Parts: sequence; C-alpha cells; structure tokens
Amino acid sequence: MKPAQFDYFAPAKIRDALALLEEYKDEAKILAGGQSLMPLLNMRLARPRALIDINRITSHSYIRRENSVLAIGALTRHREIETSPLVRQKCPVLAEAVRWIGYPQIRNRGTMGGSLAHAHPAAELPAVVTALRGELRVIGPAGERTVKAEEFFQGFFTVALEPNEILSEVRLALWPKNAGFSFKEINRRHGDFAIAGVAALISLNERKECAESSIVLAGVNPTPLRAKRSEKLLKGRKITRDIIETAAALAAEDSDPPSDVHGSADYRRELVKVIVRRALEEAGARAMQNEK
Amino acid sequence: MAVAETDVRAHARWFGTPVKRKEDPRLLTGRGHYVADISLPRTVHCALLRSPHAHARIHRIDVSKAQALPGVVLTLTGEELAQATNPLPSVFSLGNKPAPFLDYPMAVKKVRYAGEPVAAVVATDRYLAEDALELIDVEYEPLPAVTDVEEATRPGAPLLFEEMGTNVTWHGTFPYGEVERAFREADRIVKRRLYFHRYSSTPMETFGGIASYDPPSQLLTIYSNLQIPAMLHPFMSYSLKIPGNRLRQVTGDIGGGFGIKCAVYANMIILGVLSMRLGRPVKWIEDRHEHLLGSAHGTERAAYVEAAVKNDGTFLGVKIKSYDNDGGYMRFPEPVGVILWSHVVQGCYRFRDILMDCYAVVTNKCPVTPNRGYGRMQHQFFLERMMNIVARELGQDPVEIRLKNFIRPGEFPYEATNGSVYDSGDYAEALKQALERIGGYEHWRAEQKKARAEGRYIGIGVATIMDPGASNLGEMSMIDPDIRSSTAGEAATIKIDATGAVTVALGSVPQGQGHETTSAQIVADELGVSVDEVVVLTGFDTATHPYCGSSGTYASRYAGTATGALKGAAQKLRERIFKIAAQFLEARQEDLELAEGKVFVRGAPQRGMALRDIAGIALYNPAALPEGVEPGLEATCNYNFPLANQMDAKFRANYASTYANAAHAVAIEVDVETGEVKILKYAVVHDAGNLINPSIADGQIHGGVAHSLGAALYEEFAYDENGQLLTSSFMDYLCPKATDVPPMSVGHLCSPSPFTPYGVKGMGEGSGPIPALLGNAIEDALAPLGVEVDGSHFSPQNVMAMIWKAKGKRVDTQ
Repeated sequence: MKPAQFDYFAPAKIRDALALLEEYKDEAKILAGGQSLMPLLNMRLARPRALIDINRITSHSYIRRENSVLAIGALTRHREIETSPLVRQKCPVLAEAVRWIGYPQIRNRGTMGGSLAHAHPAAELPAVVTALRGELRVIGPAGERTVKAEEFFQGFFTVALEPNEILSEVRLALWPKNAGFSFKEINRRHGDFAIAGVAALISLNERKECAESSIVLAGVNPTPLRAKRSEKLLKGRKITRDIIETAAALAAEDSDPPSDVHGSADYRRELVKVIVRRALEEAGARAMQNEK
Repeated sequence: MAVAETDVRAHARWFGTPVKRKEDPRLLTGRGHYVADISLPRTVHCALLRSPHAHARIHRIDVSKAQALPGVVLTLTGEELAQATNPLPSVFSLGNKPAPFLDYPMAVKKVRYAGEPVAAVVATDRYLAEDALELIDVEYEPLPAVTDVEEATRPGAPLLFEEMGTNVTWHGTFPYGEVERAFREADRIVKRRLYFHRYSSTPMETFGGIASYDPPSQLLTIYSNLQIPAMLHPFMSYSLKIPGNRLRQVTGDIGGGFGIKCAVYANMIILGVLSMRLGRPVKWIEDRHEHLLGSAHGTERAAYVEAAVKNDGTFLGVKIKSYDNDGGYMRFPEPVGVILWSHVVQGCYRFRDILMDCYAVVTNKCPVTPNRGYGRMQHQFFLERMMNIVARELGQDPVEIRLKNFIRPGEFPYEATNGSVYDSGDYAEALKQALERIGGYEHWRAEQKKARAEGRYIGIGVATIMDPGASNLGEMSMIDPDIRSSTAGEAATIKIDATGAVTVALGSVPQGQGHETTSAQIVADELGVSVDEVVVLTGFDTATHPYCGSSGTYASRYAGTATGALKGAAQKLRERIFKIAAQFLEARQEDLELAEGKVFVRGAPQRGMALRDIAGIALYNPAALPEGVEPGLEATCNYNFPLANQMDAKFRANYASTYANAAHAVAIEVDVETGEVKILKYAVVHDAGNLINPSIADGQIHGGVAHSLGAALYEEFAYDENGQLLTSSFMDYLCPKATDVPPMSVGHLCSPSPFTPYGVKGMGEGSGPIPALLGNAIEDALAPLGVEVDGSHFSPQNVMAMIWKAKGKRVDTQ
C-alpha cells in the first residue's frame, strides 16, 4: 500500500495552484484534507502525476455570514464547522450533519471543499449542501463561476469541475429562523458512511402548513438525491402522520440505492422509508416548536 | 477469598495487587520496539504479488520486466521458492504421516484463494518493490471457486487439491459416554443447523519480519512478531533446510496477536530464502489490505446440533456434526482447531453423552489459524444457543435451564466425560451475580413487558461459558493417535547479578498481556525485592531465552504454566541463597527469610545479608560456598503442568490445564424498523481463581468483550460466490471502536485452582460468547415476532432479514 510515484507541489497562493492545474490538467489531484485521497493513493486507485497540496492556501479557510448567506471557504475543516457558533445558530442542520463525518481525527483534517469535490455518494456534506440549496464557487483560469449544488453533483464520484478548476467557496442560503430541521443516518458504526441518510428542512406558513421543505438523501443514489415528489407533496399541507408516511414512501420509490456488504438495495429502500419518516417528524415537530 | 497459604507466602506484597504495567510507559509514549522499528544496515524491502483469483491455474509467470526496474535486487516465484525449501510441515508430520497435500508459502502451479502470494520482489525500498509488482506478468487460467463449506464437501464441487479427490482434508468421530442411550431415553430431541461466521483479530500491528542471513556464520536470524517462535522453530528449520542452531528467532514488542500471529511463520520462510540468497537483511511489513485479505482468518463453522433433553429441561446428551471452513490450505495448527472444543465439550454443564463428528474442509477462502477462543468459541455459540432454543421449546426460562444443568460447586474437581479435569468454580453464582450487575433479571423482565406495550423490543440475554487455559497439546492425538504429546509448559530463567539486581527471561512471547509486570510481581514476592527492581526481558530470543515444547503465548497459557516456571526457578534460587546465608549467618535455613532485598533471620532483621553480598560470594568466591552449592545465582525451570497427560485409547485426556469460567448478561433493545441493536446494560462475572494482577485481568475481559462484540455486530469476512473478499479494508471490515463498546460492569469470583502454583487460572478468551449472548438477547427481544436466530452475525441488515423472514415479508437482503 505505497502510492505510485508523483510530483508534489505545495503552492501558497491559489493562482499558483491554478497554474499547476493548467499544466497537469487531469493528471493532477488536489490534496486538501486527504481523508479520501490518501487511501486512494496508497491503494493505487488514484495515480496522479502531480499532487497539488493546497493546505498552505490559508485564505480559503473561513466561515462568515454575508447577509442571508453563510459563506464557507473550501479549505475549512469539518471540525471548525462543527464547533462554529455561527453555524450552530444560523445553519443547525449543517452543524448536526458534520458530527456524523468520521471521528474527531478525521474532522480535524477533512475539508468542506474536499468532501464536496470528492462527492462520495454516501457522504454527509454533499447531501446537506444540496438540501440547503447551496451554491458552489469555482475558480478557473478564466475567473470565478457559480454552480448550484444540485447541478454540481453529476454522477458517481463525478462533479461539475473542469480539470483546471478549484472549488473555492460554498454559499448556503439561510432558512427562516423558524424552520425545523433534521439529519438522520443509519450506519454500521458512528462515523461510517451512511447506509442511508437524509437531511430535511421544513418551514411553516402562518397557517402552520408546510411553506417550504427540503429532503435530500445520502447513500441511496449515485448523487445526493433530492426527493422532489415528497417535497411537492408536503407543500401547503399540514404535517400529518399520513402525509409524512406518503412522503417517505415516495422518497423510497425515487431512490436508486446500491447493494453492498452493509445493505442490499431493498434494505436501503426500506431504511429510506424509516429515516425520511423520522426526519420529517423531527423537522416538523421542531418547526412547530419554533412557531410557539 | 484469601489466597491459599500454601501457594503464596504470607508476606506476598505484589501478587494480587493492581501493579501498573511496566510495559506501558514505553508503549504509551511510542517507544515500543516493534519489528517495523528495527533498522539493520543494508536492509532491502520485500513486497508480495498476490493472486486476484480465488482459484486458478498458473500457466506462466514472467518477472523479466520487474527485474529490469532500477532498484529491484531479486525476484522469487512460488515455483522457485518450492525448489529452495521443504513444504511447510503439516500436523500429520508429527505422527510421521505424509501430509494430505504439499503446502508452500507461495502458490505453486495453482492459486487457492484470492490474496495468495504468487511472487516476491525485493527492492531498495518498498515503493519500488510495489512498482515492480505491477510489472510481473502472470498468466492465470481461472477455475470455478467454492467458498461454502458444505458445498465443498459435495460430489462435483471444484477440488482445491485434485490429487486428494476431495476437499475434506480430515474427519474424526469421538463418542463420549453413551450417546445412543441418551438419545433413546430423551423426552425430546431438538435439532438445529447453526452457523458461526468468519472474522478475525485485526491486531493493531500487522504481520512483519526481517530475515537477516550472515554468510560467514551461516546463521539466519529472523526478527518477527510470530507469537509462537519457539514452537515453530523446528518447522521453520525443516522448511528452510537449515539446522536449528543456524536459525535464530527474535521477537520484541508485539502489537497484539490473539492467535492470528501464529500464522506469521509462512511469510518468514519467504524472507529467509530471500535473505539467504542475498546475504543481506530483507524486511517485509504487511499492510492492512494484505492482512485482511491474506494473513489468516478465524474459522467459520457450520454445525448440525442435536440435543437430547428431558421435559424438565435436563440435557442428557449432545451430538454435533461440524464442518470447519479452513480456507485454501490447512496450515499448522489446523486441523487442530476443528477438535479444540474438546477442552470444554460439556461447557459448564453436566451432560456427559456426547458425539463429536468433525470435518476439516478446504475452500477458496483465506486459510485459518487460531483466533481468540480458538476452536471453542464456535462451540460456545452452539451450546449457548441450544440452551436457549431448548428452553424456548420447553417453555422454560433460559436462566432456569442453565441453573438446572450446571455442574455443582460440590462436584469439583470434576472430571468431564472426555477426561478434562475441571478444577473449580461456581457457575450458578457467576450467573446470578452477572444478572444482579445488569440490574436484576426481574427488573428487566418488567422493563421488557412495559416496552412491549409501547411497541418497543427489549431483550435479555445470558451466556455462561468456560474459559480454559493452557491447552495440553495432547489434543493433537485426536487428529492422529500416533502424535504423542503432553506439553503444557513454560520455561523461565532468573538471574541475580553481582549488583544484586534481578533479571528474568521467559519462553512466553507476550503480545500485550503484561508478562513483564506479572512475572515481576511473582519474582519480587518470591525473592523479597520490589517489583520495580525486577527487570523482565522484553520479547523472546531462541538464542538467549529458555523455552519448552509448548512455549509461547496462546491458549491463555501464561497463568497456568509460566507461574510454575517462575516459581520453580525462584525456589531454586531461594534454596541456594538460604544455604549460603545459613553458613555465613550461622543460622538454620528454615529460620531465614527474604525481604527488602535482604536475607535475614526471621524476627532478627539485623542478622542479615544483602542479596548482592550473597551474589558476590556465589560469583566471585565459589570456594567459600557450602558443599554442593552451585556457583552463581542463576536458575532455570522448565515446568510442565502436572496434570497434563497423553490421550488414551478412548480419546480422553485433560485437554487444558486450567478451567476458568464466565457468565455474561446483557439487556438490549432492537429497533425493529432498522435492525439496529442497542446495548442497554452489560455485565460479566469471571472466575479465574486468584488474580495475579486484577487490572490486567479486567483489561483482558474488556478486550475480550470488545473483540467478541465486534464479531457479533460488526466484523465479518464476507466473500462473494467467486471467492472475492468483500471486506478487505477497514472501510468494510468494521472493528468496534472505543465508542462502540458499551460500558460494562465486571465482577470476579475467586475459585482458586488446586493444581496451579498460587491457585491461578488462565483467562482472556472467556469473553468470546457474545455472538451467543446477543443471539439469545435478540431472539428474546423479538420473541413476539417469532424470530429465530441461527447465525452469529447481527448486522442491522441481518437482524431485519430475520424479522422479515418471521413476518413472511419478502425483501432481498443479499
């Protein structure tokens, strides 16, 4: 388990990193927290000619509020997000989801940008960023562009990044203060990838009906899966047990889970029903609580 | 209970106290000396090419491109290795019988499991060696694979060794008592097919070794983390075709063994050959992927279990037909694992009419080797499940049925039906105390009732098992009566040097069991010095350490054997010290006492001599020694457990030396929507007689529970039908982490062994029954749903599969 040979670079400026990317293109890999890339290198499943270590680019590690948006630098470590009072206060579903990533040692190293760019189908951050209708800022030779999270995740480990681009920032629109949230995950041990996971948000209108909801699944589809039919069903309805059951069943129908040693596709689909139901119950109850 | 006076002298200061481990300061600060830490001049590095196929013929291996890579110094194929070595000796060679098939550490002509080494590369660093592996071209002809143990026994199954004509490598039948009568007289015969899955130990330190051949002296030194180097020394010497005195084996700190590291030796043959060819040290440190894929696994076993019972719950007899899945080869000590449940064939119970019908079978999976609870954890699972299954069929309580069948405290020493001499114990008391420690049986039955009314599923489980120690290798006669063996021993040397300092060397090869501490405790008491002053040498060296035929740390043997060797060596020294001191102090030997580093007249401490003065006389002035006293203060004892005997014609022997026992109790809740099992309360009550060091004993229990809990909930070597391992990294082979192990309440009973020095018993493997414990608890929790448990692995999916099966709901869980 020793990596094949590669050239190693550790630029201190993002433009230097971009120049290297321009030179090596898809033969380069960006090393952020290394929590997925290092094992892939060691198992020789990834064999880049150049490894561009961006850990010295400190300008891209931050969490800040910009009006109704929470902006998080791509190099921000999970642990910083987990312990940020701002995140806990303004975006609690993210704070909750991050706790499910690995364990403290992993969260100390792993980064927001790294997790999104790697796009493991069962990872927490792609799901929760999609659930928050996040926007991703990408820097390339021609300057910056913005991609919606839903469009960023294109397939199994595939994202809308050109070989010469770097993910620089995640922008999360803040939900109304009274929105209820839930993050549920079934895994073998705490910290493992989800067998099935879900991020859910519900906001209520003045009639205490669902004004807006967001339900995004992890681990049951090649990309984070937005349960659109379930969201549509909830809109404008009271959050009743029956509605929740139906929404959960729709989400299960819409998922396309893989089979592996931890769970068959059918088992995962059954789990989707359970966790979506539980998540909607919790998010709904929290939203009602916030109304009081 | 007080320590028996005859065993430990009244002034025992260290025995039985929680002395802090002498090993820990170095281990906890990263200053241990593991094999990977050894750095010898001119070392080159080895990497192994492993088969991607589970079963295939090798038509051609082309290493030319690898050899041409700059930095590569040597390549070796399996064929070349076979030409240079003798095959790995099989157990049958001990009875002078031919092996059923030839076995080499690398594949010859055929691969029999995915991950089997096919060729080795040596290069100036490991990176280059791995680069070179990619340049080796192997032409394989894939063959159909067989992974299921019973399928492998059926006609038409793919054959691993065509020359054998079968995959059944060994079969033995052992009747004890009057089995047929028991089954005739039974009110009811309960039959089940039960299955114990494949998992392992995953020590933090993987396999590793350095072979260093010195051409002028023709001495091959192997530094490794093999946990039985002395025992395998003759095997390795044979394979390497070098005399025993030209093969030196050294171990240092070992980062966990648990049995699995008995299998290191096959790899060391490869390194030995490479080093002998190159005349320089060759190092190989196994990586985790290799370890999971191709080191060695614990054994999976399928069994047909029949219990003959009375309607009142009394067990009369048991028949077990067992199939052990040994994987691609049957390496020493296999097939011994197939019969090792002979140690505890009755468990804690009184039924004596037993039929063991045991099959060893090769399949296209990784070979197996000892793993904590070797050979018997499977049996514990079967027996403890059958107790519950029978109780349920009879409408009885699982606790009551055990109490009814336990061997009674007044029956010890109890000779089991197969000649095993259970030393002491109070099994019923252990169970009662375990239940108290989880909060009481009645309490949890009430909680269960309440929970059921709320649609929640609480279950209570118990398992009561034996934790035998120091196997008597007489059990090998069960494999072949021509193998004659009765070694259950250990050797120790104690030396007092001219400064009066005490140094101890043992043949045990600890892998974390704290022998430096426990040995120092015993010697400090015997010689009247402080435990801090005694130095116990780390590791083992065939060139400098004493050892006996069964030396090594495996089968929980230290307490039952090494204590005897330490006591024996210390007694020799005490006698010599007293003889010398008696002359100089003009006192009678029997009036002398050793304490505080001095020998003195009892009641008159001013009439004494320091140990260094005695040593000075013994070393430098032999002419002044009393008649017949040997110069120097060094003594060795080669101890064998006095009740270790050879197997008789009826397959009877005292198969272990000590017979500790344990009761586990648990309360759980099952989430019937997800299959998750949550442990609410956990308790163990263990009885290993007098404990040398209670905190080390607790550590053994904590570790054993974690290991066994891992097996029950997380760890599984899952293979697909083509023999590909699906769990070959820690992302998929899931070991419990600290936060996955529940808090546990640990209690000790103290029934000293009448047969060991100090009344101690081996321990550390009695924490293996959690698959049965959780199986019992899950079945109890889900009784309203009619769920039946027949396997040993309770992943959430497996639990849901059982629930869905009981409900008649069709969900594909494959």
